[in-house]
Amino acid sequence: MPDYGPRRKQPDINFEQISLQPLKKFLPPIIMLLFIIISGYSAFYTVKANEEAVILRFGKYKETVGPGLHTKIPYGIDKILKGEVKTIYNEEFGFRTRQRGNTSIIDYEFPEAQEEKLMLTADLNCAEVNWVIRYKIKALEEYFFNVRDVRETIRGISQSVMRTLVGDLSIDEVLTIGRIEIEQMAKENIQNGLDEYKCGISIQSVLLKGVDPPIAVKDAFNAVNQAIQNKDKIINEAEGQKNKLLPAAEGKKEQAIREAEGYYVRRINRATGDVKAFLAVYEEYKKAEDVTRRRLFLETMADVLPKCEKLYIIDKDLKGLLPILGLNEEGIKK
Amino acid sequence: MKRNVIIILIAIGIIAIFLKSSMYVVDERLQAVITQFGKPVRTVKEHGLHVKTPFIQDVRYFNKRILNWTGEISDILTRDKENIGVASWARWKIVDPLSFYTSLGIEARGQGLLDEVIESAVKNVVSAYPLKEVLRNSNRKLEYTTKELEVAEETKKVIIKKGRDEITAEILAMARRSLEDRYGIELVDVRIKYINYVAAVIPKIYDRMRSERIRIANKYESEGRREEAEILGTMRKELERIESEGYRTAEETRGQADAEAIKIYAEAYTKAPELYSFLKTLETYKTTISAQTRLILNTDGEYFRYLKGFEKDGGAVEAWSLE
Repeated sequence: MPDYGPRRKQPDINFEQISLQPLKKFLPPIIMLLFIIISGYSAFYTVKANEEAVILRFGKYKETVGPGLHTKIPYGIDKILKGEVKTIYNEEFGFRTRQRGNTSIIDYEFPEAQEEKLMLTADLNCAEVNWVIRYKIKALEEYFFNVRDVRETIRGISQSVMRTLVGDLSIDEVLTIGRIEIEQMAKENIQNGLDEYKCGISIQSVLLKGVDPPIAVKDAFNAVNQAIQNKDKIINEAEGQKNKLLPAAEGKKEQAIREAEGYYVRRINRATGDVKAFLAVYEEYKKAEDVTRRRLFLETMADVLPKCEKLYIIDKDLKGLLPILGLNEEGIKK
Repeated sequence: MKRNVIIILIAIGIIAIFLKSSMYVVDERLQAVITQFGKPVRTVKEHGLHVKTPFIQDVRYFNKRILNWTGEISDILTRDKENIGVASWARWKIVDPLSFYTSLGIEARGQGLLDEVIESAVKNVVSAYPLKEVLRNSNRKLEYTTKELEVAEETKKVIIKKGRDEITAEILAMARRSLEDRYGIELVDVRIKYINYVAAVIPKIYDRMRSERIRIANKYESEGRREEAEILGTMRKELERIESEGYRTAEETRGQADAEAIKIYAEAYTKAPELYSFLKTLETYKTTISAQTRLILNTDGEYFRYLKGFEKDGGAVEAWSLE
């Protein structure tokens, strides 16, 4: 009340001297008015759209109200505790997201998070597990009244739950095959833990944000993946070669068979033709056997003998003619 | 007139101070101990507005909610001589503010007490079990992406008799026993928040992990080679089969063709064997006699018979002239 001072002063200087009557008359109403203004001012409060408020009257829980303009008894009789019940909160483990201007940077090297992520698996291997949980307040009274440090409680339970889960899984399950189960089980177990304390928190989701072997052994794990790919490649290449060569061989086989079949047809046809020709000749030959025979012989001779460049016709009465012909010479040459 | 006002104001002031001193509020989140000249007389757990003797009695508030406690990582040697670091985490609350006030006084001292109690319970319990017993929570079968690792793990398998949850329950029970209800503290929960090998051992663990993986990588490599050889081997076998099948069928067909041809020829030629051999012989003369052939013939033969004259056979002359 900035005008309170001057008004208090005014009676001292002016009213007191002139008359006390107006002071007597006006002071109580003014005080009353001020009282009402102050009370009125502190008797209202607003709850934002994403909030709820818990009202304590003389420290005792009275009710929980939703968004809007509300009244309360002022002067510390009613106490208002507001909480954002529609907001989804994040907790990060193994890393931290750092805001830098408009971009957020995920920092996996955050020093205090290192201890959170290095976990021992059931087969005594190490894995680095980064995860995020999203939660919201489901019951504001519980959130305020039952646990002092809810955030720290959520962090503690989720670390303990995650370690227990990972401690009962193989390294392969943690890194690859068991990830969905981890998320589901973690959500369930963290929720159960929080419900035991009546935190008033509802876990929305648990998300694994990268599960890796420690950097020191990462190359060995990569080598396995590479070996798997390499194996597939080798096999595929062999299969490819097989698929290329076998059909070609089948083709060649078919070709050989078809050719043989062609030979068969040709052979039979030719034989049949030859035979038919022979039989036709025979039919005619039978009619004039001797003459035909002679004719055929002579025709052949006429054909054959002129081809010979060296033809000797020797009388059977001449003897010892062979050396003269130089047949011996020929023999030596051979 | 003015004096009256002052008197009234003073009276109001005194009443206000009196009321303030005789009334107090216990918030939903708190509980209180009323002390008289510093000596605790009663506990107030009821929330709301309360009355006490003014000036003589004081109110001390204690939190009613579940409180936090977080331990540091401490090194423990397990029963199977593994050197591990374990950090525990607990929740507690003040259930009897009066005895808490008299025995410990302030919350910080409660935290200090828990440091001792919980950490010694963790040490005692964890060191009584082998590492796997603390680490694992069940006897579930571990699954792997490779058969080899699964088999290797199976050989190292130990039966978990208790597991993490039961051991944590044991720690909680032991810590609760040490607290003995003396301090007005209830230990709500104890959990293991961190468990791992100590830093000095970790490089060895990494070496083991590395060699295990390299072994698997090599196995994949040789598996690939084996399958490749198998595929190529089968392929060659198939090739041989296909090729020889083709040869067999083709040769069979050719043989059949020849056989049938022979049969056809034979059937026909047996009808006139003489003619056949005559014709065939003539035919062969055509091919066997060439320019290089030196042919010496005797006049005795049928063909040159006539070169020597007609003396012997007149019939032949007839025949000759007939041509």
